Amino acid sequence: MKNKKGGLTAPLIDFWSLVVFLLVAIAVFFIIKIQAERNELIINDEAALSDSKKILQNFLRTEVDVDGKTMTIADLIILVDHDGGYREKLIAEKNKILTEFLENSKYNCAEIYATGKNPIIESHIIKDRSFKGSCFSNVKKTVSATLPRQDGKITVKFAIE
Amino acid sequence: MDKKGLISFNMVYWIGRFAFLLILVLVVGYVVSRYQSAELKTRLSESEAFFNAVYYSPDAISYFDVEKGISVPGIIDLENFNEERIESALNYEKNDVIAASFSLFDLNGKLIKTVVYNKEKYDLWKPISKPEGKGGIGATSVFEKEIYVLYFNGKTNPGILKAEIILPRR
Repeated sequence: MKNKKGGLTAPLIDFWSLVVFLLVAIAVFFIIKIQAERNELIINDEAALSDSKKILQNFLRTEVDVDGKTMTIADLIILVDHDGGYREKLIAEKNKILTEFLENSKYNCAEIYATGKNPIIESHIIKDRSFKGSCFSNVKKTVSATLPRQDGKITVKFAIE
Repeated sequence: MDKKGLISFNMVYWIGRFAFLLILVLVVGYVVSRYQSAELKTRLSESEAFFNAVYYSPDAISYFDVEKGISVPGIIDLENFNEERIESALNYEKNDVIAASFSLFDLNGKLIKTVVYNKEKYDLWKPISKPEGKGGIGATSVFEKEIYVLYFNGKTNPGILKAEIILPRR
């Protein structure tokens, strides 16, 4: 541009293109940041889920003494589902194990549900009465396992935080 | 505008354009570096993979059921719970990437045994370890895991496995 008017227009275009470029760069920066945070959350959730799965699996394999017979918690759940007997024994063992585990670990709350033909256990255990925090802000932390029963299956759902 | 005025105007104009170009390069460089560093945060996954290798490996700490001929992850054999087993299972030739301690407690919180993997680096890194995202670039990242497990010492008992996995910030 050789004339005076044209000579002033070019710097104005440069200025606005710089503004637009900076706005786009800021937008890209925030998109990357949000994406990275989301990836990190996914990895954290996966790690937490992996721990919950291990804890549930080992909890179900824990051996307990029932009338002089050694059986696992999973066996006891199946037994309770079958004839309703030993429900108190199951609740007492479950409370003992999970309460002691919470007391001696970093976790604050545990939730376990087992449902066969009818609900078998529905339990929410908190570390101690002084704990004021909230539990299970993230519903994704629930894991489940299935146990066999004559017609269908027993579903055990578990979450820990 | 006379010829002299036009030349000085053009000079200022081009200086402005070079400044614009410089800002452009800097901003693109910064955004690219952010993108790269965001993609490289893999320490949590590394610690998770390491823990799973120790937890699930049949040659590490798991109890081996002779009758069924299988190793049972989640049940820790106290005889296998030692440094040598973990080191032979993982087989790093020169390990300056990861160190860890595993402490086994009974359900009442009484310590049964502690095993330290890569002790030389663990002792070096532990005092400067911080949780991921905290501490400077010279710090090391520590990841803590606490799992309800069973341990075997003639019979299976409930216990708690606490692991501290430390990785340097490379």
